[in-house]
Amino acid sequence: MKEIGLHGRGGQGVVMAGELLANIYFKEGYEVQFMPSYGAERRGSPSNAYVRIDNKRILYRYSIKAPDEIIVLNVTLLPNLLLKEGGVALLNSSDSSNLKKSDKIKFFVVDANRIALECKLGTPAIPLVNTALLGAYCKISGDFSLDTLKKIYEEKMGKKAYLNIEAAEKAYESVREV
Amino acid sequence: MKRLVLGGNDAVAYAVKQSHVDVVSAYPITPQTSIIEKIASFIASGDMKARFIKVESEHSAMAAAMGASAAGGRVFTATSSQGLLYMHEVLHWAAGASLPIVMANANRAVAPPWSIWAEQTDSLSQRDTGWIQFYASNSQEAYDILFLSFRLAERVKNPVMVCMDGFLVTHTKEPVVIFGDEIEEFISVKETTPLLEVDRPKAIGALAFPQDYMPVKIEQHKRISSALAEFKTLSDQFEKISSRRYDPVYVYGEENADIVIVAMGSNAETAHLAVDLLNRDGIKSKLVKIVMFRPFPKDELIKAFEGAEKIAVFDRNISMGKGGITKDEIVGALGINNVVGIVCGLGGADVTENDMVKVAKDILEGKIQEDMILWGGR
Repeated sequence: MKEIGLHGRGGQGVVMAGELLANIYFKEGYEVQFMPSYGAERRGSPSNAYVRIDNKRILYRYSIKAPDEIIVLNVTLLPNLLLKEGGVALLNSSDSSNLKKSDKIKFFVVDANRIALECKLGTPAIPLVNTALLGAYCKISGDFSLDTLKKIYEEKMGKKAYLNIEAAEKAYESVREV
Repeated sequence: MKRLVLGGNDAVAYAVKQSHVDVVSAYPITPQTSIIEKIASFIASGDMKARFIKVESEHSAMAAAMGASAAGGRVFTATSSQGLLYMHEVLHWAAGASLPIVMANANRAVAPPWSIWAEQTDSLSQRDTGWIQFYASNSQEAYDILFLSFRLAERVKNPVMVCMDGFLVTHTKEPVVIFGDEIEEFISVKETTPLLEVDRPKAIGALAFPQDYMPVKIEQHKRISSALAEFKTLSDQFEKISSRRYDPVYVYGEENADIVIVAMGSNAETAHLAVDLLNRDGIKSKLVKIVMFRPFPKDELIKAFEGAEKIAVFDRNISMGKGGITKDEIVGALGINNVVGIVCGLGGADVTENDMVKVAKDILEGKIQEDMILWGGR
């Protein structure tokens, strides 16, 4: 089983990203469980969502504290996040020079803010980075095809899907390990 | 049939849409709201032909549901926690008037302190209102039990409450098999008879002197009690269509278990993992899940506990000054003394398979002999 944490701030599309990711894995033939973490929902406050993936029915009914991999939509949250040893962290960041590196964690970065704005997703204050980050995650996880991602975006977003697909493709191409 | 990734709330809304419901009256409350939001959007888009009555409170939601049901309609509503408690008086009225209303309840802790997270004290404190109660432990069960509930409510002329742990079932999305037309032959059967008819005027809920009150209540007790047998009949029909079987009590694991774990709702999902871990360690164990809480499945539980050395009942609920409510019900109904009650998971606190395994082992080793409250700090 793999546990993925998605972490951002209210308005960035964290819950939507989790649901999309669960649907992408499901379409690839996995059993999935999407568990959003609800609290005081408002713009700017920390927002978390979790996805469990397995080859058999998922029976865990409690929250995930330290996932195997995390997708971080807003890096200001990083000091408060937990990750399993040997885990993977995908960060929305243009600059990795300040990153405290660790032998025990693999870091990847992608400038999802820039990509989202290029694709006219969200506003400069709150770019909608969720769909770009899933494109980057597609590349680094290797668990599902970009084609499956596109199909789910089309199913869930209709007319707006093409901008999000474009963002995912750009992130897929530009994500890098640091 | 198709498989979709849905939460318990989504699944309930789909089931209501497919159940030829005439009237939905409801008032929003977290974590139930997404049920009625989805239903409202189905009605607005024309995918569902029903009347949605917007009301100013839960008390009125149930009163409107009573009126629609008394007129012979198939009626649905949904609520949670404080909303359910506000409805309390009308719950007695609906059951007493033998109205086959179906209601979903998102189990949420009762304030104070204010909480929106999972706990079953809200619906268990409505235990004596005369409603049939089911507890779904995942989205598929929530979906399937909704269909069974409409049929059962109408068959025995008694309202049904379908409960789901808040967020842990209502909002946790997972693959669910959704029916196409296959369900039609089952769900299109309506055994509703209008209580109120224009040509045959009568009053409901008139004053009954002691010589009349008792017979009415005896009749009501017989009516709800008959739901155990009727549920099995309907479940047989449902199984033919779905290949999924529902019984008042669900059992998983080894016969003649050293330790039986009893759970209801979302804890029962995690308990499968605990049973597997215990069996792997050579401790014969079994999960007994209470699916139908009212009427109470006494005979089914006696059968499920056969050969059990110890029984650990995990309750995500509490009766203050007493302890876990299902533990108390089991001991009261079965008169057994090998049961330990564990109150856990209040207000959405985590209960893990490792918690359950540790408690089970401690009970078998004699380290836990009395009822307890499990609190690990998360």
